[in-house]
Amino acid sequence: MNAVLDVQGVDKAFRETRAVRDVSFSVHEGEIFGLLGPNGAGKSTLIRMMLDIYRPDEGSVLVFGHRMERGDLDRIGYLPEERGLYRKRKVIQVLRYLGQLKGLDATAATASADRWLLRLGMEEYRDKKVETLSKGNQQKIQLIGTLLGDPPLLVWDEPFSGLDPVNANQVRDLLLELRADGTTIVLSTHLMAQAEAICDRVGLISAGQLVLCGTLSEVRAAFGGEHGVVITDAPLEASEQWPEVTRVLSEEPCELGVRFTLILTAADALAARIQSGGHRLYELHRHRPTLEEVFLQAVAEPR
Amino acid sequence: MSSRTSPKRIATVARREFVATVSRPGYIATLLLLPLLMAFIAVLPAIAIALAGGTSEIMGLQPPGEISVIGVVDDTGHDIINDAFLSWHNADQESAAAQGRERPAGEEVLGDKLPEFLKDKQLTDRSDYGGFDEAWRIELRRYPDVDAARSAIIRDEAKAVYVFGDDWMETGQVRSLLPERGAMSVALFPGKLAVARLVRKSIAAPSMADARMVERLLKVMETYEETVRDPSKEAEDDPENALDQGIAMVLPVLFASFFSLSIFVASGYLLDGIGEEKENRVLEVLLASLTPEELLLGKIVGLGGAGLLQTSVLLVLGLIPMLAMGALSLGFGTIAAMALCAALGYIEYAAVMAASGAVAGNRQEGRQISAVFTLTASSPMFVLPVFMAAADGGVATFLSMFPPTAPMAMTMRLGLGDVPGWQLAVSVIGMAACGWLSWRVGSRVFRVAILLTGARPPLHRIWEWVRGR
Repeated sequence: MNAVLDVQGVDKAFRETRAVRDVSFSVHEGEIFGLLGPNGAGKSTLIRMMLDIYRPDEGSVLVFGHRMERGDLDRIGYLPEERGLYRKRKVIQVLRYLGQLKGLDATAATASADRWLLRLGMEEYRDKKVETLSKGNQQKIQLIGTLLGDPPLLVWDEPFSGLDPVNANQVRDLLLELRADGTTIVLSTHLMAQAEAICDRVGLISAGQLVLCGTLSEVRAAFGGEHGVVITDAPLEASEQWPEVTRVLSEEPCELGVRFTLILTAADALAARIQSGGHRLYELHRHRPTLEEVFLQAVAEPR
Repeated sequence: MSSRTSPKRIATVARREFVATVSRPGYIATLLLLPLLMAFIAVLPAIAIALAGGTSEIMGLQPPGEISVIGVVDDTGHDIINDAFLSWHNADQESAAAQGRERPAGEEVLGDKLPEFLKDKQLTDRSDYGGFDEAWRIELRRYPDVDAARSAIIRDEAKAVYVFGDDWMETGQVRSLLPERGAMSVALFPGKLAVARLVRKSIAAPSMADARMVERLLKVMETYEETVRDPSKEAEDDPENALDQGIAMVLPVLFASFFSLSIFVASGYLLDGIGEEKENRVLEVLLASLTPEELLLGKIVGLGGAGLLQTSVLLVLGLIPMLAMGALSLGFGTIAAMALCAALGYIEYAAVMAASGAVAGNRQEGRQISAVFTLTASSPMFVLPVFMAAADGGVATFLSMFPPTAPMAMTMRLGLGDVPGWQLAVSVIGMAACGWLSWRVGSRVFRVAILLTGARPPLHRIWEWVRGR
């Protein structure tokens, strides 16, 4: 599969702070790649390096198979985290300008803007001033601004922030439609549920480092597979005595003993070992970890 | 990134910045107020004279109510002055002055004096028609020859003398002898209307119905000016002339300052525009489609254009009338040199102003930072008396060749008098070099600082950016 974006060993420091450390990953053509991490993890800095707004101290970024060129800016729709619009101008004026900056002439920019306004049900705001729009609608106008000229690569930083659930679903559907049309999308978000629902692959960033990268099943597997909740009086821990316990994520005393949240390798074997050791097992249930759990785990203990 | 800049994008940004700026209410208000300000400056001499208790030089005539003598010399050989009408005119003016009457009597009968075939024709223009400005009282006096006319002007008997030479019949050209005037005078051929009326009425008499006269009747006077100097008069001894000279010095300086002002106006738009975009968080959206250099260049060009428009309006609506009235005596070359200095000044300051806007957290902070540059650029105005006293002195010369102060200092010097060519050349080269340096420094800081939020970075950090670290 072709790599539309190839980030290799990039490093960026701002004075004493190393914002990004030796990050490498690729984004393949036609996929939605989720760049996940908490606030301040280095996602936006990484994205700015991907777009040549910042230059990496070390490493390289290839876009469409080569180092970024001036013309590539016209093929990338970028929604920054810090974003706004000319508040005193009309929606169509702003969109036309943004389209022209992408290399469209005024007529083509207007036509493209009208098409996307219609598709997102925003046509009634076409001739309204930006400042009269709600925050959510302004956000949708900003999204449209990145879609003008139908760029093959979209880089959206926190596209769901400020959107109500209805609009968030609309944007999610839009992302899926764009992917179906062959658009490659890099999505930076801290909303794990959204990412889990739409991303083909994810990269988890914590403290400037890429702690995990791959498909959802790959990152789950990388963190030990199953999660389980066990209520018992046995002193469970990740040790030779309890080989089925990969990691204890949390333990809380409760009426019957202790409530453990664990990463397990074999739940049935663990149950047998607890009971054979003379301990009481009150409850054991297991589930596939959510992306959020994987993320929290990865952030708590980066590999 | 290779192929760093796209002229098309720069043009798009420039066009947007220009349109957004010129459609601002503040810009439009300034555009309308500038000509008014210039008009004020144009009449400043009159105000100055009035305040100084001066006499009648404003219009080249005696004050309303008093009678001014306007002379006529008929060297045409066709006897185009009818003495009977001349006497009637003077009698009528005397009685008008005595009665406080405004319009001359019998004006309405002029049509009757025209030959029949001319009555239905549209006469060439109103001023040539030969009416009166009702506010002024004019006694017409015939002088036998040009020498007598010159003497009359030198002894301040006549305010102007119109000489109809022997080529008048063919050309219609009339020489206007006028006394030497200072910058305060706005006289435009005083008494011409009365003289034209006198001649028209004279030659329109039935006895004068000659085909060539008819042509002259259609266009009586195409006037050109000749100043009569009094060689015995020492200009320095005349306090009114001294006032003239003072104003003659102030006007070009004021004019020069308008040129320099355009630097700050355009740079101010740049500063405000970036501050506004920073506050609106539009900058990173733009950087998704533009390189920082394209954005900066587009802004500089677009907002420079907005400043240029203002300067052009200033030139057209302010300069031309001032030159026409003789209130400002600057040659085209001088004005072009001033414009060049202003343009280079803008280039010098635009990039650093933009960098100031980028470094600042908001518009107000941007203005505070940029005050350093504004004060530096305008510092020659603080030592204006030094320039007035000696425009080619050491201080003025240094400031006009020191690039940061050169834009304003050199325009002031150009307004005050001749500047040696080599000094202008050194100044221009210095400003161009400083402009290039400013671009290098400003664009580097702009590139790094444009996405900064929060506290303003310390100076040593900015210095690191300048050094490319």
